[in-house]
Amino acid sequence: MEAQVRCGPRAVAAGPQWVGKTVSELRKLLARDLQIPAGTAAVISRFGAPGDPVSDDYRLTDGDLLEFTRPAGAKGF
Amino acid sequence: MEGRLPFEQTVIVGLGGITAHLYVPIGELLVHSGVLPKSVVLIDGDDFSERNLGRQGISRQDLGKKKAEVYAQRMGKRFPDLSVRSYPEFLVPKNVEEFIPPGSIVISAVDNHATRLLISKRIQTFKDTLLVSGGNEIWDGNAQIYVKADGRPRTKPIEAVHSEIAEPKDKNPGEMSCEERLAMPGGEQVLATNMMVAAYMVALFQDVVGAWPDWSNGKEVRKVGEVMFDTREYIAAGYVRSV
Repeated sequence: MEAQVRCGPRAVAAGPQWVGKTVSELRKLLARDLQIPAGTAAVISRFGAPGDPVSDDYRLTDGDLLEFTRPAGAKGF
Repeated sequence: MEGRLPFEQTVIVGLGGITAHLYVPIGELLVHSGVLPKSVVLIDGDDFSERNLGRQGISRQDLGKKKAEVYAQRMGKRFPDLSVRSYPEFLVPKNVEEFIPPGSIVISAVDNHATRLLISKRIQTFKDTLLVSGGNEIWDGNAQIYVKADGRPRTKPIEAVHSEIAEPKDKNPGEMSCEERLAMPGGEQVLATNMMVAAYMVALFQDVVGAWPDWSNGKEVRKVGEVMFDTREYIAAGYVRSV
């Protein structure tokens, strides 16, 4: 049983420790390691399928990949 | 690759630090793939200025010149087999239908979400389309695709998991006054980050072109639809964005 959490190019190792935690809990727990931007959306993918947005009270289950999205770059000139 | 793709031209929007490293490989693919259109349209209303020196392959002689015209000259000279047209204007709602007609592949390297949304909404109305969009901050950036083949979206629109594009808080530069444009912060940029965005955009483009026959035949194709990277940490990750 395991889940994975990513944000942009950063990821933490997949494992059972993330299963059962809510998006809100993981957002706080991993904010620094994954450099999660404040208020960013959360997307859940399962088994390599494309993701769908979820709310902060969603609880991770086995096989979930949680993605905290990073904004597209917008540096000019 | 067999069989021409159902496109008439490739439109490159945004001719800044990313496109400086993108136009040559894209030109090579258009000329030599055998399946892509040999017609290019370049769109940008901006002029070259001091802040472009050192990243965009220009000299002081180019300062003040329209980027679209300079790039059209460069591309035409480097790729005589390509038909190259330029529009030295910003892409705005009133010209988007003229500048991006059905049958367009779009390469977007713009620096604002308002224009990204304008492009995305426009191409979603086409039967067949292919968008490659990229952007960067100082050290990190992303490249993403949107594919619609034979009337069926095969990936999510670029704004689907990007609320900043879906509901842009910035302004299209073509809808700003001259004073507003001059007051825009230039921002620090890093040559390598521009190059990384360009490289991933080319990689996604080449990958999608190779997969097009399967997409157009209705096959299930699950591909990376977005790449996010950090130049300083030497890391990147791909995300599936298929429908």
